[in-house]
Amino acid sequence: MTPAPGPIRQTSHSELEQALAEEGLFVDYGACVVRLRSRLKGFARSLREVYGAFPFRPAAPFADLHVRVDPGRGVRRWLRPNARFSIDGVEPFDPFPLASALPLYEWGVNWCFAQRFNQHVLLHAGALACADRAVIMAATPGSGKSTLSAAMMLRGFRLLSDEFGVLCTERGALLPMLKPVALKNQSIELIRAFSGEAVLGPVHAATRKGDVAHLAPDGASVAAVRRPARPALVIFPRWREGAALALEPQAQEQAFARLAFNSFNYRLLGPVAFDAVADLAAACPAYQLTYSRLDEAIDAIQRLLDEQPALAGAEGRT
Amino acid sequence: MASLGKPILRRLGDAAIAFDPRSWETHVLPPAAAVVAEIAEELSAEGPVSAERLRRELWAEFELDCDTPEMRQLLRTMGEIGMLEG
Repeated sequence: MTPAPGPIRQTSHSELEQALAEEGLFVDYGACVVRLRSRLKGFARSLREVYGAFPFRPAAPFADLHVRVDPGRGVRRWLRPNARFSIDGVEPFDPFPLASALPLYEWGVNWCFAQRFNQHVLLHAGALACADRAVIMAATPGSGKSTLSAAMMLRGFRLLSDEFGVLCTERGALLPMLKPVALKNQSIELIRAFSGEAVLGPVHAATRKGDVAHLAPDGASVAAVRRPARPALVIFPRWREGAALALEPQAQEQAFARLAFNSFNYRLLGPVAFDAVADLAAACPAYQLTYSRLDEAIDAIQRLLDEQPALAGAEGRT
Repeated sequence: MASLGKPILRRLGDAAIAFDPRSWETHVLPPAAAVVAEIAEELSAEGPVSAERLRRELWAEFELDCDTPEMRQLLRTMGEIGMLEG
């Protein structure tokens, strides 16, 4: 029997760099596997910091996405060094400054996933689980869902994703799409101060989305990357400076409309998404959560989860 | 799934949602509209339902006046999404 691969953090820098330059690194995010290749100097170092708990896999029988992050070409590579992202030989974005290679890779994979994975309903949502019961936190950008997702992981929830609620249309289960959590601007120091357990990668200053740093997923979340969770609670988070904690129940049709609005591919999937989102809205209580303090918000979410009756099965309608 | 042309109606609590398979648009029906839509759906088991027939049924069964602006708007919307004929 082949031994399970060790985590990337225990792999030497040169081994990781060599894998990236040759056959590639196969990263299992749960809902999809990415084969990543790169000849970019220093990229392995920042990757190692935020993918430390992921298994080091320099070979795998299959990958959904084949991507590369490479240095810029021509004279510009010397005058203004940059990094290029490509998938199947196509570069969907303009190059990023070299220092932003990791954010470029992370955004690139998010973009590819959102474009191609239409076998699932993709909600724009953070997703976390406690004993395989999932909390879906759907919100528009800037609502603080990544920060709250990060804080919840650091308080013991299993992180499925800070960006994608991947809803399996056949089973009604939520699949992990486990990537490092992209924290922006003030959220970076907020999360650093929130827990000594937080493993943060380098701060990428002044990217197109401001300062960005990535929080590494913890070992427990990575170990369960292939385990779906059953949706149990829907939260629409809204961070407001100084606000007292407030929970406002959402009627089922209201929750349905907000989930559909916060989906990447609701319109594209038509009746399939209609049924899946309606099932979700009918099965899970939904609340709008206004908060200013992370621990208060997490306690409130935990209480709401505890109030839900424990149903059999961890994978939805399997 | 409903045949092409006939919307899929689903109850969600007191309200309802309807999916129009022709336009792929989804409509959220508040509780009062959901009741009217359900009555129309029940009637449609016997064949296509016109706005006029639904008006008559709503008046006969519930003494519901369909001549208010809200009801006219609802019946118009139901016609547009294929829940009513004509």
